[in-house]
Amino acid sequence: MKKKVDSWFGYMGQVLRVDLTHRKCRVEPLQKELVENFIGGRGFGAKILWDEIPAGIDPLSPENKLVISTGPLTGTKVQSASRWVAQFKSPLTGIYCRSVGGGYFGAELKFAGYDMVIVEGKAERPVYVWIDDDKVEFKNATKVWGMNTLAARDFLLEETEKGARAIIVGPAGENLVKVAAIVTDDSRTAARGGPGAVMGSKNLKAIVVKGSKKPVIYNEEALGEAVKEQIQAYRQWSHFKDFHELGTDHAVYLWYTFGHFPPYNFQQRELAGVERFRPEVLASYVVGHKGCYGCMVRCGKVFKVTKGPYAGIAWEFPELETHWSFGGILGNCNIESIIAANMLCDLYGLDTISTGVAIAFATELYEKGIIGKSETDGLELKWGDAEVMLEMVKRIALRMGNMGNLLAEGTKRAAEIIGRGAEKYAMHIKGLEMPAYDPRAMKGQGLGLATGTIGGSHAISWNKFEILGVPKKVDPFIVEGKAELAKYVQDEMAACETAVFCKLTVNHNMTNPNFYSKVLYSATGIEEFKDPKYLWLVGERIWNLERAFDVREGIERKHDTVPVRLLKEAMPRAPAKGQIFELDKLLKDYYRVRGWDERGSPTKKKLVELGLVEVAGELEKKALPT
Amino acid sequence: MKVLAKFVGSPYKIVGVSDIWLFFDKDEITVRELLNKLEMERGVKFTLESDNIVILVNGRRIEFMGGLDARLKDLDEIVVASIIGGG
Ligand code: SF4
Repeated sequence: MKKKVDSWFGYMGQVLRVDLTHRKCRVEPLQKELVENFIGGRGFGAKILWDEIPAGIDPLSPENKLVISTGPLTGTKVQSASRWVAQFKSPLTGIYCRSVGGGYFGAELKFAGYDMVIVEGKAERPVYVWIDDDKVEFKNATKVWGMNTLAARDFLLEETEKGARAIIVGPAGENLVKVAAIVTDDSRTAARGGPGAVMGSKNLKAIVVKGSKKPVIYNEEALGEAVKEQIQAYRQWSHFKDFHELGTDHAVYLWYTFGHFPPYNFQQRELAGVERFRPEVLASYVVGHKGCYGCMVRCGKVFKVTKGPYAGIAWEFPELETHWSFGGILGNCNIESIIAANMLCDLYGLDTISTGVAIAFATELYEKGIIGKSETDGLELKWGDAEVMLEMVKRIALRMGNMGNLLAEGTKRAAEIIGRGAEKYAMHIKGLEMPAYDPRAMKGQGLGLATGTIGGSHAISWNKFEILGVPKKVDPFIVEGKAELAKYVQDEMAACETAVFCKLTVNHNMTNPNFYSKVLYSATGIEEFKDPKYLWLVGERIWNLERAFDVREGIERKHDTVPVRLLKEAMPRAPAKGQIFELDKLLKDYYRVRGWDERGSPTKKKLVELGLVEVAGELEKKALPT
Repeated sequence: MKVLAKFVGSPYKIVGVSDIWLFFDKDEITVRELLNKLEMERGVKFTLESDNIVILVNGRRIEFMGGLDARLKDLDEIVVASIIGGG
């Protein structure tokens, strides 16, 4: 064990602040208080956004900031802990957003010596930032502006260093498409909420990084032991083989059977051809395995199309959500076209979930006669039409035509512009397009979506009790007790994303605060981190701070909801046939369990209990009850 | 009566087919009876003990329908699947 000196263990101890307006960079020391209260990753970003982004700013203005953070375990030998987080005020939702990416970028950023990069301002002309250990340069990106992410990557790595890692935006981000993603050099994405548009608005094409350092570990021996146990547990994990073989695609068909994977824009008519989503069919496309830094699961699959109009595509790969957003929700069971759509989204830099849901929204409007060909630029939007779907992906990314430009604003805004009752068919929560879960079929999961601090996201609120049955099996139809479970999974994920652990391992309970505290203390030597209860507290603190950000932006009770059809239209198919989503009861319980008032604001008592005294002070301006 | 049994993921690999119709001389059976039939006729055994296997009747986990005593009627659908989390 090393003797604790003034330097950091686990952390690199530095924050890189990039001011694009003045083309200046500043290296700031990592603050001890920030680390002790927020640990890393998602915790860092939540605190920086709260402190540095005033309420009411335009997310696409230079006042917005993009925080890219890593955690104390990023770049260490701890398994599945090297992801990175993008946090910003979302141009899609107008509230707080956190979007997590994988691949190798996070580890490389740490190797370059930084725990976090804070990007602010706006460059006069397109630039990219080249971080080569201590040397940071602003470089001209005019030549790559307009390029897709793959072409840009090749160009940028050629111009900097072949082995460097990068986060890049494509044409969608440049065009300020509100559902634009950030894409890594290895085609992983931080996609939700429009982080690509934030980069685009700053004229920032990419951040390229190369590092040669390593985080120093407080107790190598103890960490080594714990990781050995982790690897052993992975090997004995009953889901490991299936997960490695097919990643989340293993679950696609089953999700439909559970009543999720809602077809036809949540109309939930039976999906003819759903058998195409069986694991054995999807497995037939797999030609390779990929993964993130320091993760033996390697759940990423390379899919290859060998026949039909999309033959020749080999791409890492539509995950469960993408099979839905370009498949189920559009009534499309043509797997090859879903692979093609996934590839297009990665190249243009688009969120696959939001893009597909936006197209489904327009398709239902067309089906119902609310919009016609004059508004779709002559396209006939039909369920299951793969060619039209791919055309729409392009039009959204490039803001082509009336409908492309409209859907580029996101589903909520598009519905507001169209009017004529279109909002009824816009499947979003707080402006974020919904994922492949139907709240009518799983009440705790629905509650998690309704109360998400970034909008309708499964990633920050995945009810493993109801879905997987871990740590214990809970009936998804029951309403009672679901508030406690929603809080549990939300706080747990917030805590684990400080590492930055992968959500998939948290969802399976392979990562949890008990295990995390062990490796976290060994890596950092920080006494408080020894106690899993402290990590739970930090998780709750982060969630409340995120909520406080939203409340400051005007979020209240009426926004914690789901699209009206899920409240009013009974589910038409098994297993939840006849059910609706019981929002009022669930929400009342949730506010009580959270210690929030009836408007959904964290109370002063709760904030003080969580050590967020200054937050309580600021929310008081919004008439906070005592 | 007849029941459609579907095998998804690793159960598919074990049984070797994706779907089979199973026929019974009764109007109603339990999941236990169906699993016994599978064991006798196909030599495959599925239990509720394995934490990566789910058994669903018309999409609902049988744990919430009485476990192995859950009832099946004519034209019901049973799914035996390996489950992993999405994300
Ligand atoms: S489980 Fe998959 S997504 Fe998660 S860290 Fe491992 S390879 Fe990456």
